[in-house]
Amino acid sequence: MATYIQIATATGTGSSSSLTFSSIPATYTDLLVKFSLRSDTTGLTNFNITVNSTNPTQRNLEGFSTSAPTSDTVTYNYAPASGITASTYSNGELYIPSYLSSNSKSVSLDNTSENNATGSNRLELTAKLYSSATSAITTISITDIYGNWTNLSTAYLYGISKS
Amino acid sequence: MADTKIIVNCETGEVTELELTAEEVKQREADAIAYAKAKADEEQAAAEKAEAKAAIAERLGLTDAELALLLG
Repeated sequence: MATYIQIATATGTGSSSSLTFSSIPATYTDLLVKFSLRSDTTGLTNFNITVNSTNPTQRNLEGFSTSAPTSDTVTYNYAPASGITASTYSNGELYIPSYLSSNSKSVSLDNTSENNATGSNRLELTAKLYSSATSAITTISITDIYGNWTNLSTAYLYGISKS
Repeated sequence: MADTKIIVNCETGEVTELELTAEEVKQREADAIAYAKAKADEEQAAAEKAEAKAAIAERLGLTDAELALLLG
């Protein structure tokens, strides 16, 4: 049975574009980041997640409104901002298995970017590969590319142990 | 106010808010440009594919619905 231990919480301030967990302890098997994000920029924003300061390559399966799902390889995901219904967020999680491994890290992300308007909700499923992250992960950063994370934006980091 | 970053030290629990370095600001701007270009390139490729598909459908005398049915 897996045990989830909350390691840390990062909260936006309205003036910070990046939420970073540093000095992540090497005492777990996997890591999980659960996030709820909203930007102060206009419309939608895009965010990038780096581990140990390295960027991923990734494949996204994206569903938007009533359109057929599409797929792309851009290295960013979506979050709502000031043009989107108030108090809606990008809700999702990032799962990092075997974060202590000396191999590249394969990471999964699921994310919904809310918008309480008919046909405007968005779903993303993403497979990320951090090919340059070949040591234990000690740092994870979630960066808003166009604006700053609002002060109700949160990210929670969990360590997962096998037992 | 300059853009900042929030850093949570998971060992000590200390939370610090630091200004982005010039290098980080530059990287963020480059990321924004790179994203816009990547998205535009993928959208253009998709549009060109859709156009080519429509041209084939027209040559075959198929409607959009018939073509969608064939492509399943």
